[in-house]
Amino acid sequence: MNLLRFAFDNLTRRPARTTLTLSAIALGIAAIVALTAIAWGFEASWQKANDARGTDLIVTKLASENTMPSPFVAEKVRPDLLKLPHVQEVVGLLSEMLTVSYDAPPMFVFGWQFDSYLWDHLQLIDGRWPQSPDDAVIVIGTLAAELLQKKTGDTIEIEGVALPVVGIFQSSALVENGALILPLLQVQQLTDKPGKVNVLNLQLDASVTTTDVAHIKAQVRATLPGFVAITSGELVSQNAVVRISKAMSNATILIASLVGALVVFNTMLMSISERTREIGVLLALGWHPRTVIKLIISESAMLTLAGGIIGILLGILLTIGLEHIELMRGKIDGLFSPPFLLAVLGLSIILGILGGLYPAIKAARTHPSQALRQE
Amino acid sequence: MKPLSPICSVTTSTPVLSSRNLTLHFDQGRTKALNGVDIEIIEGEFVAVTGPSGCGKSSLLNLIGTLDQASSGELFFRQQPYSSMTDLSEFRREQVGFVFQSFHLIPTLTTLGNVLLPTVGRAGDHNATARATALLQQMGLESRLDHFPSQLSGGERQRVAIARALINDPTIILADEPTGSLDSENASHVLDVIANMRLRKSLTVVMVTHDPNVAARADREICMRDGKIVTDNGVNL
Repeated sequence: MNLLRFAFDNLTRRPARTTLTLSAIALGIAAIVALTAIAWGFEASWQKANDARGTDLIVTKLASENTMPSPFVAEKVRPDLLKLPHVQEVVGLLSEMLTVSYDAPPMFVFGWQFDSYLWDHLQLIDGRWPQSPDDAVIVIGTLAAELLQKKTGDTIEIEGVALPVVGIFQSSALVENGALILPLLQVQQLTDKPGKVNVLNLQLDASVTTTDVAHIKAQVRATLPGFVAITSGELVSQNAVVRISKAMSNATILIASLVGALVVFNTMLMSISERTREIGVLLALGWHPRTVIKLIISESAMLTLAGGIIGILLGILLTIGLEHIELMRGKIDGLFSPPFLLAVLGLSIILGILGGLYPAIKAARTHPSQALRQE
Repeated sequence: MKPLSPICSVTTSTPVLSSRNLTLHFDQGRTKALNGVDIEIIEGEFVAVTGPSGCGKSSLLNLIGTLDQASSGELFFRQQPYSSMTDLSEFRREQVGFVFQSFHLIPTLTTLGNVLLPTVGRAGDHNATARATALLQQMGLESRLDHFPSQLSGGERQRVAIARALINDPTIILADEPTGSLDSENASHVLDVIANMRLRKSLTVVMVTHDPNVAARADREICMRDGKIVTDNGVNL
């Protein structure tokens, strides 16, 4: 006689209630998985884009937690940055989220300093690159081309100005694949931000050490008031959208955990209440109260384990589905980390144990003779 | 049913169960289920406890089986006071087998699963399935091992319950109206099984019944009234 098999049979004897409880747990776990995958994916995607460009440090305004770092005049700080030790290149970048078509969601529009290293990691699929800082043309990522249904030779209107698409590129970063890139000067003119950038990308020489990087950061803080030099990882993790996404994901974990534990608690309490006489029989047959506790905890842990597995699969499907809806395409790239998924499964089991603990103790304290008299 | 091994007398003079001035009160003493019961049951005896409803016979059975605790007085198992037992679950599992009027089988478990229930959590019990199968064969239920209680007749269910009571080779069988839910034919069959098993396994049987015909199958009849034993084998106390 196997205790786990007995616990499983007890769950299957009331299929409607088991299914409802499983569904509630699975939905909670799915929400945890999807929101966390999106939050982490968003962070990872931006970091990937920054890393792919080969940027070692980013100089931006202190208010770098904004969704998009505040624009500033590049030439106010660029000469000072070039004087810092190990700094090889200081490259301006201006980002905007703009509506470029009535039937497409807002797109990222990047202005990159012409002839800088920022362009090096992109792979041209079709057409050509801009040929000078004054070349008023656009190159678009493969995903942007698909979303906007544009090809080389078409035009795209940005801020009322129709610009020709001269090339289509591929990037290893999803956010860049879904973006439009122009020479920096063109974006500054189109958005009426002459000479301004959101960030300055610093490329350092190969001999730089972590101590040198820390020294550069300290020098920027000391010599350029209101500015900060940070790594791409720091920039992304301090970003308001990333922080809000993570806060939402943490809140979801907390709420879903509480709801999950309460659902299991309620289910198991109802279950033992209906099975009072049966538990009395088990105790009369010589079951130790500890064995009764093991039985009830096994049932609740099985429920939440199954709910956890279903919820994880549902969460993955939900994220993939969200990635493919028009509004979200190119903006989210769910990241499913196996350790996190295992932790979610562990959380499910812990919820089962916690939710089943009180009902299990209550069942173990059943008075056998009273339970046997119960109808 | 398999032929049973030869029967011989199984009683010895050693009391397996005894009580001294046993009382069981409910409702803060307002209801007296047992009111000073002194009893001595010899090892291997088949005792029927009879009396009208509410006389205390089931309460006595529950106290013997440690399902209830006495309000006062003491019960002894082979001279050991119940109050000195540290693990009542173990006592119930190893020394007592319960047979209930309404069988109390678990509906989701098969015949074999129900018989094996008392072996759950029993350390080092590796041949439980073989014992259960053998018991069910002796009960004539070898073709019903994988049947669920709903697929069995009343008599078959009670035989499953008896097999369950015997699985851990207990010393005492406590049967509370074991034939109360059965027709006369099945009742007689179940009583045969209890009697035979008692003789084969040298069991002490304490059976509660209100049916004089059933009580007549026992070696000794104790009659109770108002929480007290009034006659013991026809002798007024």
